[in-house]
Amino acid sequence: MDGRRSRSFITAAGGLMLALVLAGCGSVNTVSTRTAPAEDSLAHVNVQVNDVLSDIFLHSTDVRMFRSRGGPYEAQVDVANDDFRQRRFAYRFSWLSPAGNVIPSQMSTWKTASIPSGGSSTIRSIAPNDSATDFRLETRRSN
Amino acid sequence: MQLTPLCSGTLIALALMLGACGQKAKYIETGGTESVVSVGEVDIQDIQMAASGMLESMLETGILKRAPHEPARLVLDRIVNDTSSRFDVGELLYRMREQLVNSGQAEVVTTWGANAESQEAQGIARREAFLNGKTEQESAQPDFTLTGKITQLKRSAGNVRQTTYTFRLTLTNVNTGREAWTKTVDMTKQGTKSGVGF
Repeated sequence: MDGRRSRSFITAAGGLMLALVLAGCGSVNTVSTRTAPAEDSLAHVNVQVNDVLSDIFLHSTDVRMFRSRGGPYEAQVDVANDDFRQRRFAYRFSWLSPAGNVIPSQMSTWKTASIPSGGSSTIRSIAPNDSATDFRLETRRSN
Repeated sequence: MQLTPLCSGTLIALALMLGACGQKAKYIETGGTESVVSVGEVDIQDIQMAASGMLESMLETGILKRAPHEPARLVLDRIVNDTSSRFDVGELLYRMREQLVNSGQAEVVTTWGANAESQEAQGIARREAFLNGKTEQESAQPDFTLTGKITQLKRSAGNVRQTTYTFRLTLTNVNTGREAWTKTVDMTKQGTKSGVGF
């Protein structure tokens, strides 16, 4: 009886391992020469999570903001996909004035991004003018 | 098997109820995530994304700040829609104009050329220039002209269709005749049929 139980345990564990290996097929492997955090990384950002499931797999790993060549701020957000499958999502940047008001802009539109399993992507936005000092990023999963 | 009048009535009522369950028309956010996504057509969200990408690139490079005039003066030249999707290129251009002109970063010269956008304003400008002893275009000398092209690449595998729409815009410095800024924005859509939401 014990032998049968341990055999079924080994079979289950083997099946689980096989499933994990198969799920890992097609995942992205990444090599980077950068080991230190970026100079323009923001230490404190305010995050509000409403879709917990989406946040488990798809989450931001770094948020940077710096002046672009032309003057307005550029925001860069690294998004990593820890899921076993490709993830698609929609996102929208809104820029804020120093007083914290949203600056209405034709540049604030919903855009899409797709990240393969294990991979990461940088989504970016340029402020509509030089006076914009903060941004807000909304994300919404598509699959 | 014969249907009793009661049974027939129930079936008809059920069919009417199911028929009434179709989706009613509603307002959605323009270009929002509930929009229709078509594989073989340019959708409103494609135009919005293209306009946004173009504007971001223009502001990032600071090309408009390097113009002799402030705000920079633009003349809209030919933008060719070379796709099988029928839409007005003004959908793209007016969104860009709104952002640049209303924020004071650029001015569009609407009195320039043989096919001026505002014929009335061109006539008044010509009269004013004549009275002031200037040439007719001297007072509205542009800094840049904007030209562009929208193209498509269609491919399919089995019943899966894929279309890439490429939006290209170029600013030419009218004083040097050289390209001052250019940007390409690609939009690729794949699927077997149109769907709602992205």
